[in-house]
Amino acid sequence: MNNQTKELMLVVACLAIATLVYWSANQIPSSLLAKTSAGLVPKIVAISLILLAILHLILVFSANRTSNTQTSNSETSTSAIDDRTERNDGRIRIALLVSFMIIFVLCLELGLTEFWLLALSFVFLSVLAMSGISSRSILIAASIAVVSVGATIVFFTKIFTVILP
Amino acid sequence: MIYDLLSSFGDMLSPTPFLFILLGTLSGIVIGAIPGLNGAMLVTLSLPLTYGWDPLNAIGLLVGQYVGSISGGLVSATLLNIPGSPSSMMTTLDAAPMAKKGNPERALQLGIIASFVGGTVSWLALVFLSPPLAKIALSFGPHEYFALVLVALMLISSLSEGSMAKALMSACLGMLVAFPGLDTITAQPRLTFGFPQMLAGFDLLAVLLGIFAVTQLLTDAGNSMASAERIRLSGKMYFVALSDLSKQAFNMVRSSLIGTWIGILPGIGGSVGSIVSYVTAKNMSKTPEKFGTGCDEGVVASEAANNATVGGALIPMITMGIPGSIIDVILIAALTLHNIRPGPLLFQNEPHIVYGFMSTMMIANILMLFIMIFGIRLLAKLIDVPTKFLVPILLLLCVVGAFAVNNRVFDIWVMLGFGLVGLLFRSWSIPVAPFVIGFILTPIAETNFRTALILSDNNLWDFFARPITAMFLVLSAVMLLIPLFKRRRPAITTRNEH
Amino acid sequence: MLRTTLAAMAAATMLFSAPIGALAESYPDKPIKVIVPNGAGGSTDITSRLVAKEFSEKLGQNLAIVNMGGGGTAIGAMEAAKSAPDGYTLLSTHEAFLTSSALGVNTLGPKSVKPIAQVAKEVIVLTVPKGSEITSLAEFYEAAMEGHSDANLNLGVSPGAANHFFFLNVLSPIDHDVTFIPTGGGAKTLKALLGGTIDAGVFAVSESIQAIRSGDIVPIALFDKNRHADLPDTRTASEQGHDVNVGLHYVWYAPAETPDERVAKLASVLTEVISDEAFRNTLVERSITPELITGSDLTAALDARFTETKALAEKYVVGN
Repeated sequence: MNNQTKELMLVVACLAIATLVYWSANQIPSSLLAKTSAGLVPKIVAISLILLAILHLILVFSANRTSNTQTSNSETSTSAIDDRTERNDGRIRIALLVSFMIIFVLCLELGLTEFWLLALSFVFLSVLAMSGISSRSILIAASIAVVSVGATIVFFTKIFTVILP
Repeated sequence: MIYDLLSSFGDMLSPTPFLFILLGTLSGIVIGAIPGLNGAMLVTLSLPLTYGWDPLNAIGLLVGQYVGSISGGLVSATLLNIPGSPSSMMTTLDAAPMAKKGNPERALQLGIIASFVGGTVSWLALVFLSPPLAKIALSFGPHEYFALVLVALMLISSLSEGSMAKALMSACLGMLVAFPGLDTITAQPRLTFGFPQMLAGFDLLAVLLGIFAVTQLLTDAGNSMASAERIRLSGKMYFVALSDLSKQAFNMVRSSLIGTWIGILPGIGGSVGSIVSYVTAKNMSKTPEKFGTGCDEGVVASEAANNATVGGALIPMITMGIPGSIIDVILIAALTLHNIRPGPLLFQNEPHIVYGFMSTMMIANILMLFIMIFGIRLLAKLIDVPTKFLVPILLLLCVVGAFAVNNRVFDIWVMLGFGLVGLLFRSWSIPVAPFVIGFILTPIAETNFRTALILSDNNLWDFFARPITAMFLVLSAVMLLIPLFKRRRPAITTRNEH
Repeated sequence: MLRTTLAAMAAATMLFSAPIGALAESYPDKPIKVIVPNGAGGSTDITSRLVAKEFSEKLGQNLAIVNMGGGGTAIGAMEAAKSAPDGYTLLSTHEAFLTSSALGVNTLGPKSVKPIAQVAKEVIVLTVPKGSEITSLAEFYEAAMEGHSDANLNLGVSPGAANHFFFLNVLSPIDHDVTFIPTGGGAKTLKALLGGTIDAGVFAVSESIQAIRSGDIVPIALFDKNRHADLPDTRTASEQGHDVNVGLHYVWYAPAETPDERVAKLASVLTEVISDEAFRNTLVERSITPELITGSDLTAALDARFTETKALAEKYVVGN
């Protein structure tokens, strides 16, 4: 993805968020408690964000000639094929961890199983995702999972008296 | 005051609080030393634990971690040529070459002593500047408070690295995140989009855990797994000569003062402090060409300054409730959890908390000196702990921590969401400091703004009729214009942040 | 005749009590979760924990306090209302539950839960700063009356919360013209009163007693039938000729569909807890007044309070 589209996406995201906030803040009915509405400050900030996003867009596109050549140069010269596969692996690891977390929290939300079981599988799978699958890493992952989940549960429920879901 | 401070030292040195300070300093140093794990993350993760504790024990642990994590980065900066935490970025420039030349002990000891001096100088500033500042801040009404917070927000945006437009966008986004929930003035739900869970807004801790811890951990997971080559320490004892130290005395004090000052400015801490002080030391040096090749001055300047930001940053936090650095944001969250509101009234209502901060910082500073001087061999072994095993465990702690405060699964979603937002911020190179400062200061700014309007009968001119308020407002307008003048300034940031 | 009646009554009691006894024996057989819809460390949390500790001893089962703050108690209260109505999730709250329901923030309303017992109350006191010109309730009314000569009275409240409604209630006999300053909850409003931002504040006796004893703030009127043991010199509102009755009442609830036997069992144990002399003293030491109300009395009292709150909310806060 080139730099310019990236910045454009940022601007679009900011505009979308600001519009959403402005729209929602505009719905707030007036109150007998204060003459200034609860939506006033959010609307001010939303408008500022819109102005800033537009300003940023102008700055990026007016300065694109100089910066574009610089960044593209440095990127092509330093990145070798090794580097690229490494980066792809990294992205996959992030995606895996994020999806594990989402599944973990979703199961908590729905109350599907006990906390300890979910936590165990989460740590186990995440360690595997981080270190690759081999019989040695499975063993390591399992022991890390048991120790860390056990310690976490004891720590929080016994010492800090938190009720886990 | 002296009496209060001394008695607070007495309190914090009693076994339990002392143990927490020791634990905090130790864990701070270790986490600070491990590349990829940093202080902000450690403090946020520890925060849920301190929930049911005595506030002073919580302060002991968290401030200890703050001091420790700023100092620990030195170890990996020297031995791995990777900054263990962002604040020791500049340390790598000279400490690593010095270590390569066969003097790793010298680089470490210079850094440790400079860190200690930096901490001490800024501690003195904390002790002597806070009471008068709090007295001034005490006379502030809602008008002044609002204007002051506005100055802080503008300042942090104009001081951030990179484009100011992006920094301001980041601040605005942070402010927007603070709005959902029940409005404090009209008791109406707003920006909840019909979700009853949103009535409480985004939980402070959940957002901080997401944007500091989860983001950092996911980034670590994505980074190269190959471990860097570590320089070994020789077995023999080594001590820096006193004459070498005395040559650096002026540099140390100057760097400490710069660090303290940068610390006081809201929202920016260790990394900016060490950059500014390093550049200053280089510009004022008789031998600027030696910088970057392993000279004493570079190590000292960077390490004295980053530790000095700790005490400096605590000043606006304690006296006005405005965070002087990112970790201060988390400390404010910690105090809020314990029903303590940092601000000018803290000196009056809860002096033991104020003096607790002061004494803890000094105790942690001294502990840091001893732990690092004598434990350096052990620390050097710890820094190549495989992060791949730590990441899943720490993510689990994030989940439990986010849940523990309000017992709501919703908060875990919030944490996860903001973890991803943090990743987006990194890929867009948007500074995260304005975001969190905007997030934590907006409720204060808004409530004061609207209370001020109620008090002055919706007359906006009243803001300008008050001299202090008007001065602050003009000041924040000036901040907005700063980038117009700094356009041509050469970049002092180096690109080896990641 | 008498004998047969007695026998019949005994038989009837046995008939009715048998299933209750059987149920009561098995309930509670696991820890009970008590949702406190406020953050930890506040006065609601502390009082709930005090009661829960004694409660769990008398009940022979653990009570786990779960703090679920935010949304002016709405989030925790709605969570409790939506929980399984099996008597293993309870709610401990006070007037804030009624006010957030009256404002429509808590969309489920008071009908979503069933009251078990009111365990205690905080007596409310109207206070002004040291040196204020207001010395009695009558003078306060005069200064607050519409068309008064001086500047508007600044009253510190947390908008929409209990202390706001206390003021609205106190001011309801007159057509008032005052300015409500959003200072926040008890502790913050107290700071504002000490700092001179506001002219008057209403507080629970427990949260203001220190400042009153040190002479920094002056109590004007107490809103209760009798004087408070900790403030023997402060006259009640009715002594001053105005019959205003407000207070902060700690009430325990269960989800609306919870079986009556379980609620009755909990109520009877709570009655034991509050009747315990030592426990009453713990509360009194904290300037909290133990006051037990259960059954239909409680339902009637809560209905009356909610109707009143709802009327005030419509008149002064949300409009129609």
